[in-house]
Amino acid sequence: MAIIGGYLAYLFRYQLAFPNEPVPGYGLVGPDQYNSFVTMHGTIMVFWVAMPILLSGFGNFLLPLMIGAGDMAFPRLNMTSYWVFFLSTVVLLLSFFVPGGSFSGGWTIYPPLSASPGYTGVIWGGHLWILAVALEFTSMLMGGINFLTTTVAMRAKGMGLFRLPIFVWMINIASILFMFSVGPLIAGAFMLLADRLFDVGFYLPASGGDPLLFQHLFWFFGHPEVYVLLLPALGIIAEIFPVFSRKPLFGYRTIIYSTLVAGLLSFIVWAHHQFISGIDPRLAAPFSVTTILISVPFAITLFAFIATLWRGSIRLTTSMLFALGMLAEFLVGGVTGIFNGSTAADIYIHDTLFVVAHFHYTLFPVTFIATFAGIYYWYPKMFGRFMNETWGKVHFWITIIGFNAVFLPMFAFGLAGHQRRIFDPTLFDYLQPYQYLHVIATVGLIVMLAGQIPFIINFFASLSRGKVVDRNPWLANTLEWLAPSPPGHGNFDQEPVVQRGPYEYSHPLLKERDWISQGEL
Amino acid sequence: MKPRHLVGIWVLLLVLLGVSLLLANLGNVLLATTLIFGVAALKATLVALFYMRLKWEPGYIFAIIFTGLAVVLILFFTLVPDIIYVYGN
Repeated sequence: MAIIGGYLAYLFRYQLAFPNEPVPGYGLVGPDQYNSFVTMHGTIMVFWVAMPILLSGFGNFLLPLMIGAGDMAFPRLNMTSYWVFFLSTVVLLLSFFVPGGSFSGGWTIYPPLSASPGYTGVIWGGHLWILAVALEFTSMLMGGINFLTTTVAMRAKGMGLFRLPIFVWMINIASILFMFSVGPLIAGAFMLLADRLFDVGFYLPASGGDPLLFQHLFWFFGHPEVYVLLLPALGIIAEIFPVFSRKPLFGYRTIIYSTLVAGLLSFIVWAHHQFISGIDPRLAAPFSVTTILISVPFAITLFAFIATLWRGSIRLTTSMLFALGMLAEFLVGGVTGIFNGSTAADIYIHDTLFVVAHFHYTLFPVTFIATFAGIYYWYPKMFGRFMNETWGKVHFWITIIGFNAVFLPMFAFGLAGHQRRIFDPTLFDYLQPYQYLHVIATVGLIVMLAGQIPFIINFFASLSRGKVVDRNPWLANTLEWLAPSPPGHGNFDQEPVVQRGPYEYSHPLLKERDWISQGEL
Repeated sequence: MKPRHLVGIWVLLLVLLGVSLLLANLGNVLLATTLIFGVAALKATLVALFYMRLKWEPGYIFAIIFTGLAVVLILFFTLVPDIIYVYGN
């Protein structure tokens, strides 16, 4: 799905740089196709790439290993959740091939554009979009139940809540956030389906409905969703930093408490997406305050990460490079979020490329950079072999340079007044002087996409050619490194008993080595 | 908990259902609506406590339930000013 999402980005980005010229590898992109590609790119990347990789992929593999369990609490539910997810993917991809094409009203499917097929000409594409998302969320709910139950009920002996690795905490907090936020969106989506099929009029002004209601329901889910994606990514880099700086994670409990506070706050920030949608202006002030407030717990977490690195014996392995890259790029995303959170600034930059740049600086590091960090770090555990470090570093630098080339110009472009969702920017005189920025961004995207080829080759080639490793090649503390590489059925040779916390590095009493496993006496 | 206790609660739920139906005949609509919602809340509590066995679960399960309720209230009450702004009443 990531390849499809990336290909769609290439198609519409090429159209922006070279309007109305055939895109190599596809052909001419028309306005309707452009809208559809933008919509489906967002949908696929958020719901079908970020969530499944970060929560389901890493969560299912690592969570039982890290808590010392043989498997997830409900293996059959897990398999059901996978097949429901697979079905949702088929339904979503089918929407490309139905009459009218896939949905084209933006990935947030705002009514009235989405409530009445008359506006976009897309009928089945919209129905299938809603069905696919509902199926996908059902699958994610099953996964979330499994994560929580496994963590509550199946921890190894001695594994208290405050001996859990941060990644496990993050997966569980993310699952809870998802559970508490997803209900309104699923209900809202089915109300939308009722509007589309039976003209019920929940959201259609002509039938007495209110499109703003959908925005509220969507963003009540949509904003906590950002943290559902972010938390596992933070968990991944929190595991990597102590190992490659040989220091305990700074502020372990503080990170947990501040994440819980951020989780709670995430439910009272959603209307910052709607400052100019026509909501009560008095509502904007409290939402502006809560939005800026939520940066505090995340700042605490990021400072804790920086303090972990402080005066550590840092080893710049590929996974460490990606973890550092995630921290750096995400900081840019976080800081530019403060601009959007402030009502006065947001009125000016709303729906411009500034916002596009901001959320890509937030979600790209989360979805891809942290994922790559995790893959390079846990690959030896997954397959019993190392990935090639040199090619990993080539992959890192091309990805980072390409990514910044795509999105850094968009901040300037957005401040110059370039709106999102424009098919042909050359039609606007005031955008002409900046057209070269679109060319830079498009070349950057092609470089970034090409930079994934070494990764894909490295990933598959290392399965057979990578250097064979033992159980704990990085000399890490957490329990997953006690299991064989790759872990067999039941994960552990014998049930581990936890003796200490997960990040005990460079202990003054340990003379002969700088780490001690969680399972060692 | 013994099966006869569960049957007893089921009977109590049926009685409460009857009470709700009777309350619908009250002359005062506001009072009737308030009481019917009150009875419904009582019924939901009984189901959650005994049929979903929450009465015997540890404290943090309740914390999760109350967090969910708090989130619903946040959504509801934060929307109220906006609804008043849009519809003016």
